Amino acid sequence: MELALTNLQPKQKARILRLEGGSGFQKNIRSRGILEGKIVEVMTRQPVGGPIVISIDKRNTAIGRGMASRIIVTV
Amino acid sequence: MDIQKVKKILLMGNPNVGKSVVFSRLTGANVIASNYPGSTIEFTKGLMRIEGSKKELIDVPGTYSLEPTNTAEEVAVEMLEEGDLIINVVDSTNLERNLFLTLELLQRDTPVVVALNMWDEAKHNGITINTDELEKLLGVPVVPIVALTGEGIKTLLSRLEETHTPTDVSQNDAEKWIHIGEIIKKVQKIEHRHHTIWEKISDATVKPTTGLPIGLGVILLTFFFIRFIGEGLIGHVIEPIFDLYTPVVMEISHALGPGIFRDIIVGRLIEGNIDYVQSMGLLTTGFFVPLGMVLPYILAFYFGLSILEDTGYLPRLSVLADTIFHKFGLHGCGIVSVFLGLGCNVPGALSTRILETRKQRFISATLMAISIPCMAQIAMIFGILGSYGMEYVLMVFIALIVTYVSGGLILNRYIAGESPELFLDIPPYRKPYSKALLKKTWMRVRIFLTEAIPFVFLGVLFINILYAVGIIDMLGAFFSPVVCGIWGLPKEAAAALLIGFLRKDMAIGMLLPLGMSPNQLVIAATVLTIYFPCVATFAVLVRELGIQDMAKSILLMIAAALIVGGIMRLILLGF
Repeated sequence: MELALTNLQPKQKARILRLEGGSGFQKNIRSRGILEGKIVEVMTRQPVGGPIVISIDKRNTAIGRGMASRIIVTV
Repeated sequence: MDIQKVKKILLMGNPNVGKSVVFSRLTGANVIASNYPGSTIEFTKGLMRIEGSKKELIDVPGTYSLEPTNTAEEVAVEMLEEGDLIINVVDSTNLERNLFLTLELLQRDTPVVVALNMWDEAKHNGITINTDELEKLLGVPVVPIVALTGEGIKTLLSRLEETHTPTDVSQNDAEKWIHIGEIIKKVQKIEHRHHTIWEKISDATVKPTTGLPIGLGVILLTFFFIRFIGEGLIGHVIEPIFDLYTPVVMEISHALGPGIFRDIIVGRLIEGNIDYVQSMGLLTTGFFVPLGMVLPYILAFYFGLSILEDTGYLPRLSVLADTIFHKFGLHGCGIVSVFLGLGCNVPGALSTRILETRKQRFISATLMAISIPCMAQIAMIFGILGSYGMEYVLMVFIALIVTYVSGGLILNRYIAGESPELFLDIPPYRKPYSKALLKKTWMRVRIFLTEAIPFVFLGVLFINILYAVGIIDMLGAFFSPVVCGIWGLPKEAAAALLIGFLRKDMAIGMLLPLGMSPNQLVIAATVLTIYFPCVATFAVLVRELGIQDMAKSILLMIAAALIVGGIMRLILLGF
C-alpha cells in the first residue's frame, strides 16, 4: 500500500518508494540518506503538527510534516 | 603530490562526524577562531606541522553537499576554493550518506584524503569496511582513524602526500547514488546488533512525553551548574585575590591624592573605602566587573554549553522546541541562537546563519538582540538584583520571556517570507573529548577576555570624562521624558543606557549608585537588555542582516523597549 510518510505511526516501518517535489528538495533529502529503497522507521511524532523523527540505517533525522508528506512509502 | 607546496589544508565533512575532534588532534594549542566561536557555524584555523613545515589547517563548517542550503554551507563551499589539500572526514558508522560529499569533492580539482573516523564505534556497531577496496574504488588514500583516542592520526598524516589531483569522474546526482550503492555493496558488511542503552536514552530524550521533562531538567541542571561553579570561583578564588589587591589600590589612591586623575584611575572612594562596583575607576571597577563578577560565570557557562554541544544533546532540544519556535516563524534550530546568545550575543547573531531564509534570520536575530541577555549581563543582574531577593531576578526573566514570545508571534505575522520546516540530523550520543572540550571553552573565554576588558576600560574612561564635563546631566535632561516619564526611572539612568552600548554588564553596575527601588531596578535591567544591542553585537548584526534590515530591527528594539518598559512601569510602579 502506497502512503505518505506522515501517515505512519511510531514503531511502524516502511520502504521508501519515491520523493515528490523539485530537484532541490530531492537532492537535499537524499543527501541525508533518505533514499528510495531504504527501510524507514518512525521513532516519534512531535505533538501539534511538530516534526517526525525517523530512523534509517539506525540514524535518526527530524523532519517537518510538510517535507515528510512528500516522501512516499510502502508498508 | 609535493606536500612541501601545500599551505592550506581543509577539514571537510558532513556535520557531526567528529571533525572538530580531528582538528583538536592535529593542531597545537594556538587555535584562532575566525569570526567567533559558536557551534558548527564559524570556522576555526590552526597550525599543524608536517615534515618540519607549517601548514594552516581550517575546520570548515559541516555540509552535506556542495550545493548549499544555508549560509553556513555557503561559507563551506566558498572556502573550498582556498585549499591546497582536503582531508575529508567521514563517519564510518554512516558511510553511505557520507560518501555523497566525498564523490562531490572528488569531482573538484583539489587533492583529497579520506579519513574514516569513529572506526571503533563502527566495529562496535557490527560494521566492517574493507578500506583497501574502498581506496581502490575512490582512487585516493583512505585511512581509518579514531580521533577520540588518536588512533590512525599518524598514518593519516604520513599518507597525505600520496594523494593527487583526482581524475574527473563527472556524474550527475542519480549516477552518484548508484555508484555509492555499488561501492557500499563491495566494501561494507553489517552484522545485526541489539539496541544499546544509549540508543534507548536517545529515544527517551526525543519522545515528547519523556523528552520534555528531561529537557526542562537539563536546562535547570545547567543553570544550577553555572551558578554553583560561578559562585564557587568567586568565593574561593576571586574574592581572596581581590582582598590581597585592595591594599595595593589604596596605596595608589593615597599617592595620587584627590582629583580627576584619582577619579579615573582608582575611582571615587565610598565612605573612605573602595567599592569595586560603584567606584568607577580603571583599577577598581574596570577590573572587578569583567574579572570578579562576570568571568567565573562565563567560564562555567561555556564549559556547560560545550558539554551540551559535544554530547549531541542540542539537536534533541531543537526537535522538542520545534513546535513552539514554528509559531515564531522559526524552526527548532532557532533555540541554538537563544542558547549561544545567553553566552554572548555575538555568536548568537552568527548562529542565525544555520537558518535557511531571510525571514527566519531576521526574526531570530531581532528576537535575540531584544530579549536575550548575555552571560555578562545575567551575572550582573544576579549580582545586583539578587541581593534584594530572587523574585526580582525572576521578574526580569519573565518579562524577557514574554517579550520573546509575543515578539515572535507578531513578527511571524508581519514579516514577509518563507519559514521552512525543521530538517535536522540527530547524531547518536557521544562521550565528549576532554581536550576538544577544554580547547573550545578556552577559545570562547579568551575572546571574552580580549574584548570585555578593553571595552570596560573604555567605558570607565568615557563615563568619568562625561561626568566631568557635564554631558551626563545634559543627556539626563534630554532623555528624561522617556527615562522618567515612561519608565519611571531617575534621569541619571540615561548614563547607564549610554554605557550599555559599550558594555551591558557595566551599565547594570552603574544603576547601583542611583538609589533606585528594587522594582525600578527590575525595569531598568529589562530595558537595558531590550533597547539596543552592545556595539560588538551591533557590528555583527549589520553585517549579517544588511543595513536596511538592521534599521528595521533597531526600530523594533526601540519600540519594544518603550512598550515593555512602559507596561512594566504601570504594573510595578503605578502611574
